[in-house]
Amino acid sequence: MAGIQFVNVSKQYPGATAPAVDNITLEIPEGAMVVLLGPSGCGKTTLLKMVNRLHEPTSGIIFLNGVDIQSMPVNQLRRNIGYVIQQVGLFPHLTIAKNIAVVPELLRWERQRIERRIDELLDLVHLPLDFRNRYPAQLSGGQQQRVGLARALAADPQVMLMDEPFGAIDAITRESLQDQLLELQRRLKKTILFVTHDVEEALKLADEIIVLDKGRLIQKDTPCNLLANPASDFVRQLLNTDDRIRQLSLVRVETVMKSLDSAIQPDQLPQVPLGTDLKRVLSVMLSPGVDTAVVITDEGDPIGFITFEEIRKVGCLST
Amino acid sequence: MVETLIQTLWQSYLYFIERQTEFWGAVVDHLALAGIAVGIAVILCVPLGIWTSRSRFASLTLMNIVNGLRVVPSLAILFLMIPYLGLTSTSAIVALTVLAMPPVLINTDTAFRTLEPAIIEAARGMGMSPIQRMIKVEFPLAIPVILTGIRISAVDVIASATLAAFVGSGGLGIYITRGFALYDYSILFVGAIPVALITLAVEGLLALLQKTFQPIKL
Repeated sequence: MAGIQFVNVSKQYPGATAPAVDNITLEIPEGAMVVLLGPSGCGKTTLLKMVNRLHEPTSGIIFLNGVDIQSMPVNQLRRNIGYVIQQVGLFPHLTIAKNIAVVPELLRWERQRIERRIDELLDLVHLPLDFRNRYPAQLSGGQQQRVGLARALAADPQVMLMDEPFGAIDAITRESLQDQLLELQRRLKKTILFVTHDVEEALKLADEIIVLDKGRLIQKDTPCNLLANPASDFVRQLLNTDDRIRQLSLVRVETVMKSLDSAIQPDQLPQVPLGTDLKRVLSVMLSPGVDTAVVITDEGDPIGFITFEEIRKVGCLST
Repeated sequence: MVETLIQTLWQSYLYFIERQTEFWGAVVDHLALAGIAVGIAVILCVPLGIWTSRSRFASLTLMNIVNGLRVVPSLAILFLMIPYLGLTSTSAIVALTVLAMPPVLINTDTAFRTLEPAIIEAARGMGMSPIQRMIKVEFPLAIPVILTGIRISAVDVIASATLAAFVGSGGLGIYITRGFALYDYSILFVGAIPVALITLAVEGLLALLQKTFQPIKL
């Protein structure tokens, strides 16, 4: 079994009255971006940091690709997990290239392979190659987090842990980083566990959202279903499910699109690229006579379609 | 007034020219005394400072002991050592080492205590062992602050190494004690001026060294 499984995981900090994480059982499927969402103190970061054993559970077992994480050496486990944190944590005394090379060096890759990988990664996160010899302090916050992302991806880990990675970045840069993460994820298909308290970020990025409160799992669902069927008043309030147009703007077309069938003629319909939000799809459909749009990949190939019905489902069911 | 000063300095110069061999010997002794004291302080206090930055117990006890010793004048320590170690350079080195320790210990402690937690967390999260973390991340980041401590300590010790002449261990202090005994300023200057110049030179050298270790900040 690939991905991450939590089985009856609890964490009780010494001296705390209530457990930080309370008997959580859940599965993060391989290749999915799953977002842990909840107010501060809900246990989301604790849950995340138990995966790379920066925190140890009080009870319960965590499996990574089917293997109990307690059964492998802790540093070997961590070298196989990409880790991105809000404060970035680049090493200020090392160049960007050296920062990216940290994990490959720990894994004793050959020099040539490391150098090639650094170029690849700078390219992947859209940073110019001449950043290699700069120092972190010479980069903007957004650029630093791109390096943080490149560093986490360096040894090509299958699993990534991201702890509010865009939390300290200004709104405009944050959006472009989010878009880029989605684009990367479409290509790389990593298993990503992503922590945030930002509802819009969660709805935008997640294949699945896990809502936590006081250490307990409240609801686990796709963004679309979460908006349509909030499990409790807590979730309803957290997501602010009253503003339907805003909700549409937060749901990506691929989460509700249907597979192509023979009744659809891609060339006669308006096209929307993967990653488009439903608000924009809706505005396409406001043109006379259009009630279906074709979803295309980054390369321009049709991959699915969406009708007004799917949009209505997201917009209507949630009241 | 100015004339007398210039005259005294001229006398100093003549005195210096006459006793080149003795003078350069004194300089070497002086630097050796100071260097050994600072060296011992660094060897002792860098590891101790790392320990105090991590252990509450160590920080409470060691920091208080070292800070306590700091208020005892070096001259007093020097005299207190004489019954045990005699009129030897060991007495002088002990007194100077006690003087050299606090800045190195305090700065090492501060350097490791103020490392950014996010950087340490990133290093742990990437799978560095504690030793790899120390060698690749923590120590290099701590060096500039530790060097500041060494700089403060070196300046103190070079100036105070003149005390060694009181126990017959040489150094540039011999001219100061001699000048004092003979009530001759020109001899006193032969010790005092080079000490001041050496202090400045070492200060500048260490500042330069520190600059090369400073991570780039914009």
